[in-house]
Amino acid sequence: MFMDNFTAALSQVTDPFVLGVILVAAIFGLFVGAIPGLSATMAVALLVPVTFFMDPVPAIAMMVTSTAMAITSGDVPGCLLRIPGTPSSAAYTDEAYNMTRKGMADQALGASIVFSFVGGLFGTLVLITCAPMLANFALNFSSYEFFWLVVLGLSCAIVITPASQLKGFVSLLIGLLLACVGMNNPAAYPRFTFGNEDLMNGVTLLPMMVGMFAIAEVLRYAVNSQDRLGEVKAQIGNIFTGMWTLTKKYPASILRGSVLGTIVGALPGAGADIAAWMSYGMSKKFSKEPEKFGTGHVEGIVEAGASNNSALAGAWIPALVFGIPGDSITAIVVGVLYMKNLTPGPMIFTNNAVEMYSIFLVFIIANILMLPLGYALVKIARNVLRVPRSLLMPIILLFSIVGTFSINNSPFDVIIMMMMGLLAYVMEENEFPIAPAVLGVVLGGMLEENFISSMIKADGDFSMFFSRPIAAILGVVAILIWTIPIIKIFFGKSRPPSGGNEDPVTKPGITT
Amino acid sequence: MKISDTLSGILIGIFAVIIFVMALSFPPTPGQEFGSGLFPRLIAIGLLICAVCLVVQSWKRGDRQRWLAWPGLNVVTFLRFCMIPAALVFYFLTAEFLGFFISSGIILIVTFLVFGVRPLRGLVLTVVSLLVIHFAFYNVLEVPLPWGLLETFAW
Repeated sequence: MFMDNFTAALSQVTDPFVLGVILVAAIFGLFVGAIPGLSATMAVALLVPVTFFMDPVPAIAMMVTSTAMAITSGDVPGCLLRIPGTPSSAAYTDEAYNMTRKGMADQALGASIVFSFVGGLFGTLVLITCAPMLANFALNFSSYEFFWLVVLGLSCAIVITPASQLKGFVSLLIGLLLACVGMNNPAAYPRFTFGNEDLMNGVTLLPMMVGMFAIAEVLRYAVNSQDRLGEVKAQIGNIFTGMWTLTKKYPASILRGSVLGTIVGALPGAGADIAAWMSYGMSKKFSKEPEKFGTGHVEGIVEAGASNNSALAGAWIPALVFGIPGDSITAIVVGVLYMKNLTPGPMIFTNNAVEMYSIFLVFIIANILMLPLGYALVKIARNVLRVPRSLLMPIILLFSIVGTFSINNSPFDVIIMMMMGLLAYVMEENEFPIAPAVLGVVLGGMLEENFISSMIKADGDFSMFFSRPIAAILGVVAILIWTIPIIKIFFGKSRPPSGGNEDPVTKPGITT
Repeated sequence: MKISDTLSGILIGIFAVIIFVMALSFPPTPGQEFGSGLFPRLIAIGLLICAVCLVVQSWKRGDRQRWLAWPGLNVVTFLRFCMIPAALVFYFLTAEFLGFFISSGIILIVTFLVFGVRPLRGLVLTVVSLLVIHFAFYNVLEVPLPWGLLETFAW
């Protein structure tokens, strides 16, 4: 059985078209990641219209590959120009740049790429082993467990957000509300459609994602343009020299970063960026020479670099097994999975075993490709980083319009994209995080469905939500997560913006 | 565009009340207490609570922030900002008639010029990106992009 699925998956993945897609996606991801202001999430959002016209395996392969590459290549401008290419590199940008100033750019870049590869593979292995086991375990989950799982997922998204939790909550509720639009509710009653037929099926997910992640960025650029990033001055030799020595020197860091990254990635709402921050902090805490951190010391880069890439794979675990995305990237992926009739859930490994094996294989291929392509990127980094954003933004704009428009040939989708772009822009300008809204939209239907069917089963008795052991545990944890911040708001001082050190770097377009 | 917490709280609060009232009219599922209105109502209540918290928090902080501000706003940035939605509207109004190449070409060259790209460079890039995007969607992904006025040149 296993061998049959595996060979079938292997032939799916080694199809020349799929391999070609992987290569194109890899180069695209490397490029997007290396350009500050264009994030890995944006790479996926831009690819969504493209994947719409593909078979499931190349479509998923495209997303897996481009994100893995983007997260890794985001380290390159961080190291060379002190501007992180994606938010996930922000945690150790200063460290890497200080290494460059000390003339150790090769080592910083090498460590970023090599340990991204190690972390990515580790996360993939956990995904391969744990996801099917978890799915097996979840097979007899009822609507109670699923309800609590979704609640738990959404709660994590808020608790972990670096911005204010209150604003995170507002963002989440807006997302849930958007999910209410249309007839996809237990009573199939058209809600908030204002008599508009296009809204009957709800707010279409794809234009929304493109709007929130691509159009919003173009808008931000239009208002706050900043073209010159600075010149790369560092001399770069062979980046792979000395990597084996580093591996032998910091085995514990590599393992710790990979494990923590995978776990943080699997938590809904927390993605690679938060994983990197936590791992960098962890590395400093456990280091034998913490005083060297911040002065251009490679240890934190090793650990956090492994962490953000393992988080990427970790995020797929809840996305595949429960349909609960681990970060904004997998939120988009879950949407695409539904679109491709690969319905996420415990049954996915039974119903779509071959496709799942294919996804795993693509993960492995993408991580291996990271080494040669990362090497090549570093070689041409000087030129890539010189591309001004005034050249890219119009192309991104056009790509978003054409892509979104061609999905249904519907002007309405374009309007949704525009509204969502404006909404996301205004929200981010005012420190309302976007990720909870995205999770809310993706999970809103599932939350309501499980809530209503549980309520009907329980005949309105809420205590029934705790009647099964696993449901009870999940429920208690979820309630604890909710009550603690509320108590804080009313009885404590308002929480200081802990994201203060993160914000400026996560939005390179705004920093000076 | 900076909206103070007080103003966003008030706006979200009003919005929540509207949603709540709208959701009141959603009919219950026959024979069940829990209809399609329950969930939106719960969300509206949640939003209202958040709105109150936002206002109270900013009041407790002694916020002196102006209700609405747009630092660095001038005519040029405003027009640049408006150009993005205008480009979207332009495409879906004209794509069918003018065709992909002309509509997209206009969008690209205008945005390039507005973003300060030198004309010749902008023109070359426009042509190249049009061909690449067209090839990717039309030839590889087999998306029927409209030809419009250029129908006779279709390939």
